[in-house]
Amino acid sequence: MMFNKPPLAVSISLTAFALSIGTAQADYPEKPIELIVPWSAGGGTDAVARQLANGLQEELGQTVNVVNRTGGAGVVGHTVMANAEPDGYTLGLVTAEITTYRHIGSSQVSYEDLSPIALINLDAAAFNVSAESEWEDLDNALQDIEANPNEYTVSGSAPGAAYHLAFAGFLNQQGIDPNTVSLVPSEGAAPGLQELAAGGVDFVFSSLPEAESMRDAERVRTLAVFANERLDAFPDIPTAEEVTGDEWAAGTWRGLIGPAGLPDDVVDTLAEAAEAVYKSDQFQEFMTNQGFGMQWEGPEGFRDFMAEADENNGEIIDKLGLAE
Amino acid sequence: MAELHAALGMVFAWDVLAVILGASLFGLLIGAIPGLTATMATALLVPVTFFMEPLPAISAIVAATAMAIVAGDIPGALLRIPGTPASAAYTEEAYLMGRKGKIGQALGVNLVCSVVGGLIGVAILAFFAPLVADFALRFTSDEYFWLALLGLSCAVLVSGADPLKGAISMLIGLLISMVGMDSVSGQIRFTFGISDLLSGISILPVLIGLFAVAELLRRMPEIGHTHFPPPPPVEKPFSGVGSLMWQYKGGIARSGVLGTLIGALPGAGADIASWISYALSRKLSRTPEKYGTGHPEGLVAASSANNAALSGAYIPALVFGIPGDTITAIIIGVLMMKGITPGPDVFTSNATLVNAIFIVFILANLLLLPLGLLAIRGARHILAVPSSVLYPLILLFCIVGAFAANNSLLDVWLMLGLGLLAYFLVENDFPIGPMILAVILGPVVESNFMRSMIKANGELLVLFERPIAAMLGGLALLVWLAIIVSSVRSAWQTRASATSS
Amino acid sequence: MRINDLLMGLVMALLGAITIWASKDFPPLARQPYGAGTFPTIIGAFLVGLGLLLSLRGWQQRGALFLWQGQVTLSRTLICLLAVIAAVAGYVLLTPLLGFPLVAPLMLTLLIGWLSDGRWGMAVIVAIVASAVVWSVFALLLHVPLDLGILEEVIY
Repeated sequence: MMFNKPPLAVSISLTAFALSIGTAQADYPEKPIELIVPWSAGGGTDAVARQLANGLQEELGQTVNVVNRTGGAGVVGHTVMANAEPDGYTLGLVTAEITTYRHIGSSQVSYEDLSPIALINLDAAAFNVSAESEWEDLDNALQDIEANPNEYTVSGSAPGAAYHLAFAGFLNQQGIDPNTVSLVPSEGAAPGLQELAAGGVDFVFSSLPEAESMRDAERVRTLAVFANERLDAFPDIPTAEEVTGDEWAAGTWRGLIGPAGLPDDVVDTLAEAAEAVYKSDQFQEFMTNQGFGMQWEGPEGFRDFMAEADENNGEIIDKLGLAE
Repeated sequence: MAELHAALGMVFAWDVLAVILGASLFGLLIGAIPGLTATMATALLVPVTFFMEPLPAISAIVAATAMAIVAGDIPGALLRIPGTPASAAYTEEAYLMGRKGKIGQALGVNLVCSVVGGLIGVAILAFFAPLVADFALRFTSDEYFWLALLGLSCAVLVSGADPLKGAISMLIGLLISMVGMDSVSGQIRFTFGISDLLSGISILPVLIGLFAVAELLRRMPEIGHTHFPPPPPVEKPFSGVGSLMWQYKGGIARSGVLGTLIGALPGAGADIASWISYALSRKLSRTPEKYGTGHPEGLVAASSANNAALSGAYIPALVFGIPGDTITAIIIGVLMMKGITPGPDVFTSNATLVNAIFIVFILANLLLLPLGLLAIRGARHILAVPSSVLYPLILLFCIVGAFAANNSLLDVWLMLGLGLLAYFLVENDFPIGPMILAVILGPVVESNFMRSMIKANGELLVLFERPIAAMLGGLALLVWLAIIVSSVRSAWQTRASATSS
Repeated sequence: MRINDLLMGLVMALLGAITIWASKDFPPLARQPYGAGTFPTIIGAFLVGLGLLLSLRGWQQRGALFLWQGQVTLSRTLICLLAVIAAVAGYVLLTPLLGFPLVAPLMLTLLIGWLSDGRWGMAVIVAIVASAVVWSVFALLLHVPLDLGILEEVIY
């Protein structure tokens, strides 16, 4: 336990020494692990985190507690992850927003402050309207947005969140200035969908499962999903490409990370455990049933994936004038 | 029907039942000890519930509070010291009944009326909450803004004799809620550079500080100065209770409904319900002259009302996320920690959970009978627990509890600081209720206002455009006007009385 | 301890003024006058207004600035306040060093022994049993990482 709480500076060099002192961490984990979720519980990220935590708990033989640290468009939770002691007892479920903050200017925290462990999911954004709205399909809606600039409002996340970028990028692709639809910030999809059903906003972007209970209650309708193919769990919902003819796949993703400077052997232990969880029938079944897209990358692949996303988002955000 | 079945399955799991029983016993102990309130029982329970699933967590609080209110009647009847403020309205009456040799009957009536009142409250809750929720699905940020503002104002109005101090207490609560990153703009406010404060001051140290530590600070100096006389033995509880209940059945029903409605008002809880119900029953009585001499009629009315109020408070809490009393303020905090934001959509998305909560209410109220009897029998022993041992134990529990939510020692400091603050404020007649309600409602008021403004490009009048919003808004402005007028008038009157004397 | 409303009101008004000052730099949202500073400024303004009203009322009553009432003496109350502060501060500062299993029983023993007028034997027993119960509930059952302090090296 002597490396339980190393000072931050020491911890960075710790990675280099990890092999020689590997025995000190050999019995990792020997106490409960905290899994930080930067979004409120009940949403998509939280559901994945809890399922992952259950699996990891079985694989590692230690309790894995899910802790929701919400606020500031996920900045709070991601900052907590990045600032945690790199001892492997504080991990996080990182989401796509980590590749946007420094471009928007809301925080300097980025994927470089984290040790990637595994990418476990990739999720398409969907375009929802109120059940009482006149828009029968995506085409209607797009025409109205184009014809009536600054008339409509959209909700579902904080500004600059992955789904917001997916939505704005979609409008941009369709030749509509995304700034003509004002964003009403909400903490996650659920309050946004409630506002949509009550007539407070015109559109809400969310994942398909997030809108499912409201869709079943016939309070909202989902016009399209931003994916290359229809999702297996939601075969009735068309893709954006089917309507517009232009390919548009965008949304969010989630992965397991630790703070930067996590010792290599800890990363290996966790990546191994995460892969076992990912491949388990229970996890596969859960993800498919809930409509979450499956995607796997190990520590190296995940780092490259985040670097690429970071670069792309930088461009989009700049184009949209979201940078502060 | 399938949902009801699923809900029954959720409740009748051994862990949920064990939690209900354990929490009831805990509530019994806290309630029966004079000076420890039902709210304190809740605040002390929260750290443990933090680690439970939502249903057992809420069950624990429901069971503990119902039991604490009932157990609070016992020292009232035996020693003339109310166990919780909710019993204060009829302590004198119950004690005098005991002096007439009807101590068993007094406690028996207390117990049975509490159960009946509680069940009336649950029935109203289970029937009306889903209806209100259905209506509330039409609410946008405009309506929520006014509703939350109205909740804040009610909290100030009913908090005590001095609305000026109530309003200041509320403002301090609002300030506490502003700390951290603003959810709409992302702006960081009042964190003093402490990164742990980025996500705001967490609710747990606030609760424990305001309701447990402050209470300890107030009671601790009295140790060694207050001695409870040994309680008289209780003979034959329940004898004659049946006929009394039948005689006053109208009063019980009326008080049950009245208690539920008062409980549903934000800020007014079990204690206010029992005072009002007692007063009303005296007014309507054919023999008002017997009140205050050990007459059971007022006792029957008030002890039905206080337990009914507990259930009533859950109506606005579950439907709008606006707490009806201090206990439901805690419940909302617990639900939010669990990631369930109370609101009308909870009735669709978590219908099974909501039904399960209703079943827990019924169960907890039925459990009052055997446990209440046990408490009456064991009162002698509970009252013999020395405060000098109990208070340090509660203090340790507070410290560990405040630490437990975020594993943060900063939270322990916050708990201490807020406890000291609350102690000084209460010593100077500032009510604490508005403060905790403001901590919960502050972000609701602000973020909904901001959302409305973004939708309307900063046009304030849009808040009155939708009919329900206009109605709520008019009401809220009216109540705020009343608060301001009565505050100014209180200053004016003091001056008048000062110059005339 | 009753402090005259005159002083309480002035303190509240000062708190409000500080809040307004601290919120003046929060930027408004795009295309409108409202933003992160709106609510703190309103709250601060109300605190100033109501605080001044309170002190005006207190001034008219012309009571003593500080007043002590109640059956318990002031010194006893102050000692109790200090004891609670010392207990919490001691816990926060000492547990990272000495660990919960040492600090908690010590704190309980001192408090119980003192409050019960020197029944130290009982105090020690209650303190140890209670600390063990709290440890097993929070640390073992609920996985709250209560600090082991120096004991960590003894155990591992």
